[in-house]
Amino acid sequence: MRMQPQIDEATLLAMQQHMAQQAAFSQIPDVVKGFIVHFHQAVLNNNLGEITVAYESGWNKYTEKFYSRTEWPEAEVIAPLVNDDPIFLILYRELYYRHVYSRLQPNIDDRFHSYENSCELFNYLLNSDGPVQLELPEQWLWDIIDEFIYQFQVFCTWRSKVKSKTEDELMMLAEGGPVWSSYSVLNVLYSLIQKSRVNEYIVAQQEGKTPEEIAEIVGEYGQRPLYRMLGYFSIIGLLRVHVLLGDFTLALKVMDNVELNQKSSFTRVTACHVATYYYVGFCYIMLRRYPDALRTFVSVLNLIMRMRQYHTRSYQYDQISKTADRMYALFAICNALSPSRYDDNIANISKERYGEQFAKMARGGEESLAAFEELFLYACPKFISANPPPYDDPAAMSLLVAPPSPTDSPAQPNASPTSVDPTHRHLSLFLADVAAQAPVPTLRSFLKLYTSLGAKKLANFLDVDEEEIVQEMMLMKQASKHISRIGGSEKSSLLDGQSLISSDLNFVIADNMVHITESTVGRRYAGWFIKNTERTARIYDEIKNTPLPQPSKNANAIPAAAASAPAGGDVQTKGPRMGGHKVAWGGVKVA
Amino acid sequence: MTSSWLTPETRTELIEDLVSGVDRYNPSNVSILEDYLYHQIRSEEYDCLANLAILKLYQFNPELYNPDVVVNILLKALTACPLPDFNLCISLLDERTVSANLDEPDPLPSLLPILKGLHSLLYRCRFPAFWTAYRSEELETLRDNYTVECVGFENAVREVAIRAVKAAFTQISTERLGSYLELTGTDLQAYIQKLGWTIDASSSVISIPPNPDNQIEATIVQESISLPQLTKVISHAALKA
Repeated sequence: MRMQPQIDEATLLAMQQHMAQQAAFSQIPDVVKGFIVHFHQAVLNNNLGEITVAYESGWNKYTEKFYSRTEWPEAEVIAPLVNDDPIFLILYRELYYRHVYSRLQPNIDDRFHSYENSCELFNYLLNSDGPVQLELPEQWLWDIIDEFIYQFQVFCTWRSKVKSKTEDELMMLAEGGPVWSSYSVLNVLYSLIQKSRVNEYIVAQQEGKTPEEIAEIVGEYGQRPLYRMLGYFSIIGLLRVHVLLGDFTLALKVMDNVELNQKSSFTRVTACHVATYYYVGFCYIMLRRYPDALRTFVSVLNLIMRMRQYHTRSYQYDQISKTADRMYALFAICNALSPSRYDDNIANISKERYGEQFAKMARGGEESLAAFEELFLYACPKFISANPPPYDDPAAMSLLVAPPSPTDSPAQPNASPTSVDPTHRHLSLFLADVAAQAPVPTLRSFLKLYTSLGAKKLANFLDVDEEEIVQEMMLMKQASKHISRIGGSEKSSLLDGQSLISSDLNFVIADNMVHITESTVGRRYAGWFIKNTERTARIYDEIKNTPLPQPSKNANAIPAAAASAPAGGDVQTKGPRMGGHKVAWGGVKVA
Repeated sequence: MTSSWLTPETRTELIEDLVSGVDRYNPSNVSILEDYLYHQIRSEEYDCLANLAILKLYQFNPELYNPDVVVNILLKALTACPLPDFNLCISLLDERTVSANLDEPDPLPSLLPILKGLHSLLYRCRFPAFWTAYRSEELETLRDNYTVECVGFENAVREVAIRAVKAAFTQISTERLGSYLELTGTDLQAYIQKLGWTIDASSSVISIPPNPDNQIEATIVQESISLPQLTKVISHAALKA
């Protein structure tokens, strides 16, 4: 029998793959194919308008319709539609993996490949011969950075769960090396900032330099909006990464040149704006600067409320809403630790959502700790550990998975694998601060009742030692002072500030006698009077300018002359009173 | 934070570049920062951000980890109370896997709870308790190996106490202050004199000079009405007239 020519295995595999791709291709709905072609054209033509439409509504529409539970077709499958354009395929993959991460569960291959794709994208942007001519909408640029960091963060969390890994995964992780390493992520962000010279751009703008001077300063990369915005968003990206790694001072420091106000560029993308304020506010909390945190949250929460009407359709709305809710929780925490009368509106909403926890936190004492913990865990960022478990060191791995016997050292909590994950490490630092302050609300309620009080008497009320009370009061005094950024000095670093008293109750101890004062808010009457004066003036003017009504023929003797005379001179007889304008006094002023 | 905390006068340009630039990530720069730390320890200086930079390098490069450096950083941070420095340092101490990297067993796991305890006492102004704990037998290792190297550690802790006392008291008994400072008799007198505080000889009550924190007065927050708010009202009245 004559042998058939052997087709070698490689060719066979290639043929099978090709057939599989063709099959997949034919399954793609025509509208999707059309969309991809159209999208590709828009990108090729740098047609920002079309790209934006395709990106913001087109992609989501087809995701909802065809791919809500599966992946989009792989890049290789749709490649023929776009003439194998490598750049578009990189961008397509960026969207493909974003979809996988958000709607489906990425497996280890997905994670590794999405990292490689990101590297290719940033390589293309940073290491081509000069700046690339590509143009993308700002929303997409922000999403690229945002997603990159998000994928990094979930990878770190997933990677730290040692016990649930399969053999294959363990092997891949052992050889993973720089995949999703902290250094590479930071490298990308810093490179984008440096290449675009965005910090120099911001400074030059603040100094009022001319466009020509600025162009000179930022160089050929910085002049292109794509690079400038990527640079800008990378600053916010660094803020976020440093917070995730627990470095709160460095996080605020990278923002040194960015002004936190409505005019700054980062406000152009709402999601970026919201994220910035969230992370800045959280840093302030970890720095014990509660008034600064409150101020930060209030300004962005007000903004979100105002913008709500424009954003309800957008897919970002959910994410923004969730972040807003976490900020209401953080607001409640800060308000409990450092009560202020800052913004009644936001405070009310916060109490609506977290009233129960707030009541416990504000009362202080042992029971408050659980409430603080609950809200902190809900609202805090998803902290990560900078380093992976030692997948490449088998000896260390075995120690990790099977801990040494407890006889080694009972005081070695750090060595056991059940030891603290980053979130709980930060939580316990926060709770230690809170616990230190826990006696303060009760103490304050007593002090409020007196203008002077013996320390011994106060100690008796609270059933503790006199010395204990005195030390507690030193703590209370300490807790009522916070470093605050003085308003109006917006150009200064976010870390700047001065120590200010933020409590309305103040006291001092003279040997064993406590003297107490309270600051109160005087009655505010100006606003009410001004408003009603202006309103009355308006009404008066209106009435004056309204012509008197025509007298009816059967009316009592009303001189015709008076009827047509405009009000101004003496009116000899009174016309009938104009109805309609009711004057209401004592109206409630809406905040 | 105050500008002297952000940028201490004693920080050199070299360190400033490291703290504010990208070179802080270069592992080979760690020895520069470590030397700077030892300089701080010997000369009673303090630079929080530079020390945090060391901890960050350790975070990314576990092979650089030096437990003695970490303990010293934490000791220095203790003396900055009530600033959050100590907590900021702990935030950067990621979990360490037990590795065969060190020649001797890692002292940090056993010292860390002790240091946290000391910090808690200082933060909560429990100064007598602090001194008791500090002098106890348990902390012998700490004293013999670390705080003895740190010049002026005990005085720095006393300054923490003084800061708290200054804010809360206008007058304080000698006995009470002595317990906060762990000083008695002539030492205490000398210390108080150096601060420039006066003791009333008969009652041995110390008077603390006025400062913004210990001068209290009841204030009423008046609203301030500014002219622009009144323009409409005034101009309307003027027109009418």
